[in-house]
Amino acid sequence: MDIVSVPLEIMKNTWKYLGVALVFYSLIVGLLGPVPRLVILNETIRNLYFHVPMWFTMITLFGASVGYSIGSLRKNSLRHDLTAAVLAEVGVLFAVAGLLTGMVWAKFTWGAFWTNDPKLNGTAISMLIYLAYFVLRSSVEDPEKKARLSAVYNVFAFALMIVFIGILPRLTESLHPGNGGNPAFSNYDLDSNMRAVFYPAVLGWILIGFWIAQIKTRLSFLETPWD
Amino acid sequence: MNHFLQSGAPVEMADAFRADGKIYVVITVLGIIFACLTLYLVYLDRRIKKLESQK
Repeated sequence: MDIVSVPLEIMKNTWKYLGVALVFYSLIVGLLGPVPRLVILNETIRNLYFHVPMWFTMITLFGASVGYSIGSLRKNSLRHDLTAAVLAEVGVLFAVAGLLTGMVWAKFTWGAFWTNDPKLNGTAISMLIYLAYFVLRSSVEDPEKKARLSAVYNVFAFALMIVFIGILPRLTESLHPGNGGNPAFSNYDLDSNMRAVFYPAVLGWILIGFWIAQIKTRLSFLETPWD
Repeated sequence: MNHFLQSGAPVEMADAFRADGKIYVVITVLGIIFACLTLYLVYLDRRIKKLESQK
């Protein structure tokens, strides 16, 4: 590497370092910083810094995936299609992390790993919708056809995910904070100490999610015999 | 919601754990895990970069 390309390389990767730094900050300040004293929640309120960013990252990755799907339809690009698939894949990875951490949190605050809560069931349905996206991809041989079909499906999957996770739980009664008039989220949402950790954590995890997706996309590009 | 807070009953927090300084052990453990994962991502990133430059 010559003397010019080293700083260029560092600048190109700045967003990755920023993501790592932000999450690192949230690990330290998230455990040391002051939090409101709330019954039942106790110290588990700190899970907000780690559990919720998983979902923000998932939604951002799924959103980017739809962007690439639409791009693949417009430009007839198989590379865009592959990128969309990888972004959805990493999105599902973060959804699994969000579900598992949420289940642990639920066990110690609601008393059960899983409740038939609209937020939880909506998330489960969304996961099935996204798993069907991968089933659809693997069942079509022709790459052009696969790209077109899965791109259209991805747009529907994203719209349904927003409805199931973001809209329906808000219209019904729900244990989950931020839904159905449950005040828990707004109670600690207003704490400025927590905001100073929560928002950097969200941004940091989103950047790390894109870093993982970028690595996987580059690997898939190398593996694919483009002609 | 606020009647919980206004009842005056003390809310259980990890004060003793924090006072003993042991919370730093947890932070160190989490930091090590996160650092390992980050280094692994950097390692993957570099290996792929090498492959890309060969193509």
